[in-house]
Amino acid sequence: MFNLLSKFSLAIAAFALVFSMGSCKKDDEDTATDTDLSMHLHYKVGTEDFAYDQVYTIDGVAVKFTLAQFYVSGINIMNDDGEMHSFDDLFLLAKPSQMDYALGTVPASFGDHLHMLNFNLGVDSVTNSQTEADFTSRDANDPLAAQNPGMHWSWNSGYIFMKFEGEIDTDGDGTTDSTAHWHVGKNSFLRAVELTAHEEMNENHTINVELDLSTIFTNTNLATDYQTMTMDNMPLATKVADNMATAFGVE
Amino acid sequence: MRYLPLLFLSLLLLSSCQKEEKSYALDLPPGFPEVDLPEDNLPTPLRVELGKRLFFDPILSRDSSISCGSCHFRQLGFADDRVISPGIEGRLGLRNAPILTNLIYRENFFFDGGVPNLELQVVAPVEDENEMDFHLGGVVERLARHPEYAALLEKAYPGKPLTFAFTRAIASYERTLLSGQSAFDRYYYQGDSNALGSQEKRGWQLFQDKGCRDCHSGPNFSNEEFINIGLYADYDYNGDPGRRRVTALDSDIGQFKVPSLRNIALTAPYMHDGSMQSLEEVVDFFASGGKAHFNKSSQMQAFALSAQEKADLIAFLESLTDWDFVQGTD
Repeated sequence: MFNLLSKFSLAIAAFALVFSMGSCKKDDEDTATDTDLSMHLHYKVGTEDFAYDQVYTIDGVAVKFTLAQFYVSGINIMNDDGEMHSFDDLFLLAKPSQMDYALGTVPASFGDHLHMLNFNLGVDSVTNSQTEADFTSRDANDPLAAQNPGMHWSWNSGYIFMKFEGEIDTDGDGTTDSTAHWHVGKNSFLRAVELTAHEEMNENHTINVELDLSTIFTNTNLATDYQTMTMDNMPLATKVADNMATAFGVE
Repeated sequence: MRYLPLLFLSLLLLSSCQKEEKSYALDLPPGFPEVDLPEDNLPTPLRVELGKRLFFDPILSRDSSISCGSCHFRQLGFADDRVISPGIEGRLGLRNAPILTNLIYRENFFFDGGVPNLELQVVAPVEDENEMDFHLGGVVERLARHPEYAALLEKAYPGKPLTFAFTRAIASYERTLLSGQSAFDRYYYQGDSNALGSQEKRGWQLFQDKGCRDCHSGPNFSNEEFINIGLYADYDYNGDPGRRRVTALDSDIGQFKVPSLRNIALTAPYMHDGSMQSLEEVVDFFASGGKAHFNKSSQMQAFALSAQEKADLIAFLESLTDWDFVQGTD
């Protein structure tokens, strides 16, 4: 009889243990939450904060920017296990006047640890081809709609991936004297950015990214070579695109 | 009596269907091939009429001084007799204004083929700093303020952005600019053996024998390809390298789209830069085989042409004038 009771008690205890383990696991799941992820983009020039029309010295040359915009797409994040969450169909038009960008919701199953943030500078070739939906057909609040200043080429259909404009000091007197522009586009100029973040995310998390515009002219001769519409100066466009891909960091 | 509501509903549906399906019948010339139209811009009378009105309205230029029609004249086959058409403030670009005839058959646009469809083509002159020098935001603002355009564009393209609507409307109008009633068309496509005289017929034969038709083929007299004809030994002279401008390929230097020859007798000056003033000059150039250039097409070979043959060839080219089209008003 005792034996029977004992066996029954053991079964109850085992059941309770399994049940309690199950309920603990459930409690864990209940506490894990989705994350609303945003990106804060901080424009800088070297160690200085960025402002339009402010004169900076880059590689010994006085430069001021009157426009500094670019497209961000193909955004994804990765956790420690190498699992990825992509923000599909999300296109951002990065500009100094807007520092915060909503990326979307990260499901709880991703976990709390944000190991890497990856994105592309520019847009994919299908979007760029203008064949499925062109910039005239998009709603005004869509970053891919026609912009002012324009972020597309109308004579050579496609988006301008990165558009910088300003003035350069060409005679070395410290005063900017010549208009400069760096308009970079076309499919082969899409560049990937990979940033290690190592951050724990909370319910509303912002990843702080900085962009150092002083680095985008590395290996160029800023005082003499300061205009490209991509096709008319491919070497300069290539350098600017390559440099942009390395100009970002996580703050 | 109990079927009366059903009858009423049927009539209502029929009437609304008829209203939605009202389309513009494109008047394709006899013998011309059928065309594929963009699903999102099938022509309707309203779209075509609106497009025509916008085409001739300077509202699209920054200072409201020029319209599409300021550089594309119907009586000139929708071309311009000036070497370079001046934009706002008299600004000059690089190229001679192309004809806008039978655009419905073109596969891409501009001499370098940088634009894939007619709808997007509309944007380029609006934004070109040497043409209308405006931006789409400004155009939309003006159209939205206009007492009629905004409502009409919404009616023509319900729920679509104004940028979409105005570019589609102009493209719709441009697709109606169909020319295929020249003497040559009556002879070749409509079987009227008397439509061409003997000189024009000899010219047509020469056009084929001398290889002109290898590139100027089909109903639009263009094979839609890009070719370097050896117009210059150095294409950098005026900063226009042709198709290289959009591909960045050195193999595209000096390559320009084969132009249509429709109404060619009326569309002087000729070549992408308007550098030739007469058909005589053009025929002489092609007979010379063009200048040496590393991208020059092997199709460009010098050929002998007597004075009579030259006159015959030009007579044929003149037979491509569609007087009904250039004197029309639609």
